[in-house]
Amino acid sequence: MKFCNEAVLYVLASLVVGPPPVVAVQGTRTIQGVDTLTRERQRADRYSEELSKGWRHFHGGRSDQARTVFEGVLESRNATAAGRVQALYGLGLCHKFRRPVSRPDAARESFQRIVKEFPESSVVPWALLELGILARKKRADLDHQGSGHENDEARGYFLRILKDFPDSLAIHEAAVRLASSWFFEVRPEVSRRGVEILEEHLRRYPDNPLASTMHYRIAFWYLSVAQNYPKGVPHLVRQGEMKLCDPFRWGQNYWQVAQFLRFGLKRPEEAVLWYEKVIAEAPGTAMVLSARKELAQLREGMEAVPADAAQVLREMGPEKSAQSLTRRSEGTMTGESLD
Amino acid sequence: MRAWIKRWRKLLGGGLATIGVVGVYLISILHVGRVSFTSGDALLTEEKVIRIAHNLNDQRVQAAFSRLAQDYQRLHPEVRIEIQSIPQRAYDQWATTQLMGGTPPDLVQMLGRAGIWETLGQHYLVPLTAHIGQVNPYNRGTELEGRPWRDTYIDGMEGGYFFHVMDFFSIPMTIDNSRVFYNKDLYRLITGSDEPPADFRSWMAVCRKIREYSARQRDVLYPVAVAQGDYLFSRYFPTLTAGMMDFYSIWQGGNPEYISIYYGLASKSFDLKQERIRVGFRLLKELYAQCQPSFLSDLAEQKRFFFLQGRSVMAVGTTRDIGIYKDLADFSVGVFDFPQVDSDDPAYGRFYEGRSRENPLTTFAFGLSQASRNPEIALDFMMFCTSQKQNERFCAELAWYPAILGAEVRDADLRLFRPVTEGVSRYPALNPGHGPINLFFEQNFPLYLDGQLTFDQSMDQLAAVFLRQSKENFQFKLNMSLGNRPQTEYNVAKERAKMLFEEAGPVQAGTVMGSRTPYQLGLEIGEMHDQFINVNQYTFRAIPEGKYRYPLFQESHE
Repeated sequence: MKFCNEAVLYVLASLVVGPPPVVAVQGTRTIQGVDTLTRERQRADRYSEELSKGWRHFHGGRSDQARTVFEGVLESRNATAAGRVQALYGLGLCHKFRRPVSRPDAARESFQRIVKEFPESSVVPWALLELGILARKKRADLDHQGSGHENDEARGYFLRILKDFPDSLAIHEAAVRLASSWFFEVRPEVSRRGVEILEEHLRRYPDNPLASTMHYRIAFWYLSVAQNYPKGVPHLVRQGEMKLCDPFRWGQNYWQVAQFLRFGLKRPEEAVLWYEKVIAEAPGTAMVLSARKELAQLREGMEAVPADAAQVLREMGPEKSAQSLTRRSEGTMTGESLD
Repeated sequence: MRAWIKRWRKLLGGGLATIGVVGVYLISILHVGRVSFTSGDALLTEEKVIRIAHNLNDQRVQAAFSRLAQDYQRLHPEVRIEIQSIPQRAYDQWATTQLMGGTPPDLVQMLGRAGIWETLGQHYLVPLTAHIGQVNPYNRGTELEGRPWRDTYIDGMEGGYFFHVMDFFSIPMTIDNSRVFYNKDLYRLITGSDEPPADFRSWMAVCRKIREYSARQRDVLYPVAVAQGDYLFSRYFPTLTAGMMDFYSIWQGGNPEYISIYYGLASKSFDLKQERIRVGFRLLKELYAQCQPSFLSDLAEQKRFFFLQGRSVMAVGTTRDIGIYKDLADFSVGVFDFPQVDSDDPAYGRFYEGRSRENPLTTFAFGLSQASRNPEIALDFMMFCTSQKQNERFCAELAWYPAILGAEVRDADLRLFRPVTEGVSRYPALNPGHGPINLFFEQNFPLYLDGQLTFDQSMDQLAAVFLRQSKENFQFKLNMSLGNRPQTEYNVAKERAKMLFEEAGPVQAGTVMGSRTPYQLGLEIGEMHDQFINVNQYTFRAIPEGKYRYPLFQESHE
């Protein structure tokens, strides 16, 4: 009954006041994909074939053979700067992922050479990113409390990328890695820093190629650690709209959004859309039956809503409702209504 | 004269032997050389040879594959398909040695998507993600015409997807599912009819009649034969306990997750001795009492013997058993779906939530080896095999369930194996399947079934173990999953390199979804895993301190 009242109020309010102002129309906020991600792509003007061979070895897990090829290019007198940078980068990865034992020091040296010897190269921020990842200490034991400082060196690299290379694509991964280093601090008052970093990054780059992952991280910090649904759910909704890269997880993801909307924010009319998405976009997955049951339960509740309002809800249809939902969540993303 | 004959006989005999030995030697060299240097391709003709290896010795599998090969060769006379059947027990080692030694067949059956198979896939197989987005041309003229290959599968080809490696590495050909087989002759003799039971209650009534018959005959006859891998627990327990963990298991998207039980127990908001679990256990006890005493340790072969020798009237079995029983049984074999609890059932009906979900992952999958000289042809052959018409025919010949959408299932018995994808799946995961709690459960549950422990005793002990060892158990799981992290990082590094340098290879956009790239997917996987660690690092600490309310928990009690 409580839900019915809320649904009625929501629909009536929408009819009287009209929808909230459109912050951005879905469709113009599409995730930038491959075109964006390849904009820094470069080709070596010499030894292109050799470098390709080195990468083929690396992709096939033959890091020692790849290393020999990259070293060959590096030692060649005729190699240009672009070729040398690529060879050094490849060499660093070969050392880092060498099996059975990796060589982190050698890897570090290769990446540092890029930074020192080729400061003008667009690969520098990516080399810094690798240095940050190498310096990162990730503690996965459950008793870990976090000292707050054990990742200072790694954070230094990530921050340098964000500060000195704002035009590089590497800033997005740097932000994700920097935030992650804070999330591992466990104590909420410290791990909160991770959320702040990602929120700030999303404010500047709302459609960045890693935005979906960023929303996911923020949402689950608010929902699990802070247990703040009004803060967390809009991020979960936004992430659901952007969709996870892994389609085999869509069903679970949509179901989570629906549950939090329904029970966390008490907005069952919006949860309906997400249960419907489970059925429509993730058929055959584990959550379909559950979504059907929840929908039936919700619609049963809607029958009790005064006829005209219930009709409006039904006629709204998934598409219009989704637009409305997007507008509302855009509003909440900037902290306008749910703070 | 005699000495002359003797010498000639000696020379001739020795010479023939020598010629024989040398001849065989030369043929061997030729064969080894042919396989080593040409990957089996014919030396003197333009013929391309594709070798495919599997581990089923069943003659019917060989015959069905041969028929597929002949049909393909008819369309492509320049290709010859060679099928190798490797004994099941030796297959793991054989496949590993062949792949590592650089002499694998073009197409290798993959027996799993984790552990050693994941490693082999990563190092020796061709990632198929880009290929499975292509249209399967052999579906022309069917309703699947124009669809990407992966979308022609019942499960979106998930059975070929290697999660941690972030790529598709194998092409599945069938779906495995289980049902109950029964000896119609014996069944009719004992019950007076061969009509399968309509619901769980009548199934138990049939089992009671069988036990009474067995006692009268003074013969050992079990109602149902099952093997340790038949998972009756997860088939029936959820039907009565589904939905109990909805508000606890939100992080797992509603999947069974034992940590939720720990949270519930630690916050004193969840009781293992509640009525639904009690009734669920009572059902399992009644069900397992119908099985052979050694059911917890018996393998599929032992179960089949019970059934084929007439020592059990029924047996739980998979699609692959259809052909075996039909070929070998000297009695009439029937199949029925797992009987469900009727909502009017006096003992269990009030808690019945629906039948449990079956996860129809495709299996009998083949990977394309990097050493293949003719990868395009090998893939084309797999497209042919998994086209709607061919998959339908191949599976019909073997009485297997097709993996491809719309492939018709003509066999009435086989139709019963159609996976039920819409079913209940969220239930209290009392057994995590790993670590110390798993060890305890596997010792504790049989004692309950055997009557050595009451339900209350069994649950008290289990609750104590959960409270004491959940953390240790979860750390065990975490350590296991952390082993995959370097692999994920390696994949991300490869994709990052492709973004930076043309020489590193093409960025495969749209292989996962829309315009996303494997780079984005890799980071997403890594961050999801980190989030899982972080949430549990926090909650394992906060719950004992009373600082944590499980998400949505309050609402669940409103």
